[in-house]
Amino acid sequence: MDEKQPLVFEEMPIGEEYADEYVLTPEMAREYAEGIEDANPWYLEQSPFGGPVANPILLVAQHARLFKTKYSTAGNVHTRHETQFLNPARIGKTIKIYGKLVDKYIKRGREYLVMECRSVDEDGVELCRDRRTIITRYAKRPE
Amino acid sequence: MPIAVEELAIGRELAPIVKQMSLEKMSRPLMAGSNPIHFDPEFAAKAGLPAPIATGVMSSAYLSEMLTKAFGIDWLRSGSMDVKFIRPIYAGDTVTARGRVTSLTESSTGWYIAVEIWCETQRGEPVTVGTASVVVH
Repeated sequence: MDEKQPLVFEEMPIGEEYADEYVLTPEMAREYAEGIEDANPWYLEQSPFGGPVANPILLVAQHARLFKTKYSTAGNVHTRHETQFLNPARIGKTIKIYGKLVDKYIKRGREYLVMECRSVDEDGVELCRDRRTIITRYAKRPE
Repeated sequence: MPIAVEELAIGRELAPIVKQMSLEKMSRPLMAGSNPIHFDPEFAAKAGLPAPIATGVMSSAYLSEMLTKAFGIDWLRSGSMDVKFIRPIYAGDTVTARGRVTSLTESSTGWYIAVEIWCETQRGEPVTVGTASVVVH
């Protein structure tokens, strides 16, 4: 359980920005491949792009780190992502991720937050753009 | 091998991907992060769920695997997807990723292919729905 400040819907400022980075290691690629049972050799050994590249959804999954830079995300549920893949991510690179809270709304009793994100590698190559929507918790707000 | 463009047609279904969900896979740190709703039955119960739920992007990964098999490297360098996670996925579920070509348009950069994509469980319920597109060279 993380010890960050709780995410309070009413206090979330539209326009708030987030950033983080991580190294795309071979171990991470293998752990992800095992978790989703996709042993495509492109992600583990060799790809048509040269060495191994990341499963593209691994990049999308890492965008969940962005809220965690400031808030406890326990209980959040991801509900939608609109993602554009631009370039494959090469294993071994440091990946910088950026996000901005662009919308929040309440629908059918649930609190939604919308963040626009992007991943860029250490050489400045843009890898993907993503618009992700989460609900702050599964349970509906009290009437 | 990716599907050759000349073999594509509107209505063509992509080869499905079938996965068996387990709490062991759902709760791995790279899948669940630190969010207990994905691995802690007590936390899930307090949230109003009968059991922990898989992260939605696990189903996105199954869809992406299907699209990678269909479109090869073009998926990794020009693919787009818009998916909604409309129902929870639980340990023990069998999830099938499916896709159907909805349009093909030739352009100066290649063939723009649009695909309806979804994941369904053994109960026949869609759990993830959306669209994908790719430019095939």
